[in-house]
Amino acid sequence: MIKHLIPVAAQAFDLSDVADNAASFDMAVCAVSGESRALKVPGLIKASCGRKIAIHAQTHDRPSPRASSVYERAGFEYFIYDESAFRSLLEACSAEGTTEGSNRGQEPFRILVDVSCLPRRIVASMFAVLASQALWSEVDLWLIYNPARYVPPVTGSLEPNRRVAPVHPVFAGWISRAGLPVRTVVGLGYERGKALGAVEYIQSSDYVLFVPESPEKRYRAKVEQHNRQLIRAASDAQVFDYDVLQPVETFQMLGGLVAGMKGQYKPVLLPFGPKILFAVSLLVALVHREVSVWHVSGEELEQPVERPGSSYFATIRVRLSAGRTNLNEIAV
Amino acid sequence: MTISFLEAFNAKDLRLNEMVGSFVPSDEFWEIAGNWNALVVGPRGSGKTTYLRMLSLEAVRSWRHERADSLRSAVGYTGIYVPADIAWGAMVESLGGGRLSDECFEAVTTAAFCTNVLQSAAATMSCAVSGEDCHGSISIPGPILESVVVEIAKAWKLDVEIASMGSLETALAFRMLDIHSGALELAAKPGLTLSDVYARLPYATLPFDVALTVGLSIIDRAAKRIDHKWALLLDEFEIAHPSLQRRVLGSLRSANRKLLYKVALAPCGPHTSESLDTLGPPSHKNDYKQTNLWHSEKVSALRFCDQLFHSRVGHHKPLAGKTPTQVFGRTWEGDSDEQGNGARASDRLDKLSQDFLELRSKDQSFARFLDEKHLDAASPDTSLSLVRKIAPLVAFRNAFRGAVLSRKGRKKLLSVYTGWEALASISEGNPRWFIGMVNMIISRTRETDPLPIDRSVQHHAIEQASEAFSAMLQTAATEQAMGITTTKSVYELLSTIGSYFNRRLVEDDFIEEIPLSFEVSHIDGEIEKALRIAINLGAVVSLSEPDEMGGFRTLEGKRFRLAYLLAPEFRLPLRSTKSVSLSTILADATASRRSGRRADTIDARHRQGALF
Repeated sequence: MIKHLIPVAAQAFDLSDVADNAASFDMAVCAVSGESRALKVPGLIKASCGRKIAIHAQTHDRPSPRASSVYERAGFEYFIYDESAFRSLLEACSAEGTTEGSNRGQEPFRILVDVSCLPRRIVASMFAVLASQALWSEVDLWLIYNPARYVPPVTGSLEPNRRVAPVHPVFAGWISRAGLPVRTVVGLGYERGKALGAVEYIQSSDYVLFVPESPEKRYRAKVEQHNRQLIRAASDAQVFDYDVLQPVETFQMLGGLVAGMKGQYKPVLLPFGPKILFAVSLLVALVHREVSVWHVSGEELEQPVERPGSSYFATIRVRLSAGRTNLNEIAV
Repeated sequence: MTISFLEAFNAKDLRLNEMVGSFVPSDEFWEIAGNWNALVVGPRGSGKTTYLRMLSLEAVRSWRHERADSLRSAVGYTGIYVPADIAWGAMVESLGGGRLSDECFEAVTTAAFCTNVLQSAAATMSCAVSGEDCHGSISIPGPILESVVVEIAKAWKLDVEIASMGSLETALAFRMLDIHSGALELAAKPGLTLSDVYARLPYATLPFDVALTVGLSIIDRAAKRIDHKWALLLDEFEIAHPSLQRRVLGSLRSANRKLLYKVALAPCGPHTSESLDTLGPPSHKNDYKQTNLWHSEKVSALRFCDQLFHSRVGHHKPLAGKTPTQVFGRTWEGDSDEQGNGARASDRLDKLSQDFLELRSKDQSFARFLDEKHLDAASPDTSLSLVRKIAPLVAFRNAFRGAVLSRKGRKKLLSVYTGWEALASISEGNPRWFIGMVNMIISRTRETDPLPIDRSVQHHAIEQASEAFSAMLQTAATEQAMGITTTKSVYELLSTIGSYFNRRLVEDDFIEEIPLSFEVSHIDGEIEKALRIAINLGAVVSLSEPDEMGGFRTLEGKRFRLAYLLAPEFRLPLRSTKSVSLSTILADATASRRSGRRADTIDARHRQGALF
C-alpha cells in the first residue's frame, strides 16, 4: 500500500494570520513572474525563518531589478522548478529540522504557496509531491490567491497548445470500469472557445459549468460573452456560480458534486479561469481518486503579461493527513 | 428548451434503446457486420462506435428494424463491445506516474487492457445466460453455470466468493483498482524489473486473447455449442499500447476459430507507422475486410444523410412524410432551385444573370474573362458547359468579394451554407455532426412554422457546429495526439490552407477552375504529422484510398480537402475541385508573411492564458 496524504480539513484565513504565523512556516513559495502581483506575498512573510523560494518556470527570464530587490529583501532564493529538485528540497527541510533537534517530524510541515502566478503544471507537481512524500505524516498547506484587476484577453499570435491531458499522473484519476461515460466539470475562463474546444475534444457526454464571480465585474461579462455557446446550451442545473474569494466554499461544492458522480461517470475537471479553482480542483482530486484534472499546456511559453493585483485575496488552509490510499473506496 | 450542437449524439453515451432506436444500417455497416475480421477506419465521430456497439449482443438482440431479423440471422457470432475513450486512454497512460521502464509500463498497461476486455466479456456472457429464447441466449443449468464460473475464474486468475457471473464482474472491477495501486507501488520500487511486476500483479502474465478464448470455450462447452464464435469489438483502438496493436492487428491474419476481431482505428494512428503486412501471412480463409468511414464524394454523404434523416424524422411528427428538401430547402449553387419547390427555370436564370452582372461590375478580371470567352453576363447561356461549371464559383465570389460583407452578401451566405445539400455536405455524413445540427434546427422550429425551415435558423445551427469544431481544433494537442507529436500547430496549418483557397477564389484574378483540394508532396515531416492529426480529427478528408492496413502509412502523393464543416469558418464553397500541391500553399503563405500581405496565425482568443 502506498501512503498518500489527503485533505481532511479546510478553512479560510486572514492575511494577518500569515504575518502572525510567519515564523512557523517551514517553507514559503511564490513565482518569479512578469506580473507585479507576484510580489505581494513575499512582503508578508519577511519574518519567516523557513525556506523561501521564488520559482522560475524554466523558460522564464530572470526577474526585473524591482522584483529582484523584493525577493532578496524578503530572503527568497531562486528555484528553477523540477519535481525531483522539489523533493530534494523537502528532504533538506526535513534534515534541517532534525539537526536542529526539534521535533518537527511529529508536527505538520507548514507551507505557504501563492498560486496567483505559478504555472498550473508546477502547482500540480508540488501538490503531488506534498501528498506522496513520506517525511511528514501531515502537511499544513496555506494557499493564497490574489485576483488581478481586469486586463483584456491577450490577442496576437501565440504558441500552439502542446498537450491536452491530465496535468500530472497523480491527477490522472482511475476508475474500476473503463466504459463509464465522461462527465466534465468546466471552470470557465475568458478565452473565447477554449472551454468549448476542450469539451468537444474530450467528447464529454455531459458537462457542468463553474462560472467565476468576483469583485471585478468586467471578468464575468467577458467570461459569459466568450463562452456563450456553452452557457446557452446548459440548463440551470448545469451552471454553478462560484465566488473566487471563497475557495473553501468552492472546495466543498466541487467535492460534493464529484462525490455524486461516483460509480456513474468518469469525472474530468477542466479548471480554466482563475488559478484558485485549479488549486481547489487538485485538492478535490486528492480526496476523490476517480477524478482527473486536465489542462491545456503551453502557458509557460506565452509571453508574460502584466496583470496588476487587485486589493482582494482568496485564502484556503488545508490539512493533508496521512492515511493509506484505500482504493476500494472507488466505486466498483 | 433548445438543443445545442454539444448535446449532439455521442454513441458511447447514448442509452442502448436510444442508440438502437435511431440506428441507420448503411452499406458500410453490413460490410463490417459480416462473419470475418474487420478493420473500421475513420476519424472521430464517423460512426465507428455506433457500428461496433450495434454489433454487441445487447444491441443486436434489442434492435427493432425491418432488417433486424436479417442481421440476427446473418451475424453468426456473439459480439463483445470493449469501450474506450480519450479520458480512459489518459488514465492508462498515467499508470505508474511516468516512473516505470518501458517494459514494465507495457506489462501494466497490457494488464489494464486485458482486464477491460475480460470485464466486457463477463458482462456479455452474463447477458447471454440471462436472456431466454432470444437472440444469442444460452441455457446452462444452475449447478453447471456455477462450475463454469469457477473454471473461468481459475483461468482468469480471479478469486470469486460466490460462483455467479456477477461475481466475475465484481472481481474484475477490483482487479482494475488493484492495477492502479500496484502500479504506484511498483513505481516507488528502486531497480524495478519485469519479475517484480509479475510478482505484484500475477495476472499481468495473462495474454488477453488466450485468457478470453479459454473463458469463451468454457461457457460454450457448457452450452453445448463448441463451434460458436464470438467477436471482440475493440473501440478507439488507436489509444491502446503499440504492442497490443501489433498483437491484435497481427491476429487478423491468423486463424482463431473462436474469436473474430472488429477493430476501430483512426486513419493515421500509431499503427500506421509500421508495416503490418509482415505480421502474418494472409490466408484465404482468415483474412480481414477494411471499411473506410469517410465520404470522399458528396453524393455518398448525401445518400447516408438521407437515410439518417428518415430514421429520425419520425421523432418530429409535423415533419413525418416530408422529404429533406421540403424541410430544409435546396442549397443555392448558382442556378439551383433554393426552395426545393420547383422554382421556374426563368426565375433561376434571372438570379444567375444577376450574379454574373454584379460580379462583372466589381471585378475587372471577371469582366475580362467574360470578354475572352464571349459570354453574355446579362443572359448566360446555361446550355454551355462552361457556364454551368463557373456558375457556382461566380455566385460564391460575388457573395464574398468586397472588404465588408454587405447585407445582400450575408443573405447569400445564408443560401450558400443552408439547405439540404449544404447540411448533408457539411456534416460529411458524420452521424454525430448531422444529428447534432438537425436536432438543433428542429428544436428551434415551431410546429406551425412554414417549410422549408427558416434559413437563419439553419444557418445558426451550422455556424454553432462549425464554431465548436474550430474551437476543438484550436485546442487540439500537438504532443501525443493519438501517438503523434509535432511542433506545428494543427489549426494554423488548416488556416493556412483555408486562407489560400479563399484568396484564390475571392481575391485573385478570376479563372475557370480554382483549386479547392491539395496534394501532399515533399512536405516537412512536422507538417505531415500535423496533417495526420487533422485527418484523425476529421478536419481533413482524404480523396485518395489508404495505402496501408488500417490507414495511411504515408501521405505522400495523396489528395485531400478541408472538411466542409470548416467551410463557413474559412468562407469556402462546399466543393472540391482540382488539386494544388500543399508545398505551393505553404510557400505562398511564407511569401505572404514576408511581404506583410497576410499573417496566418492562431487566433489568440482560443489560447489559455492566466486569467485574473
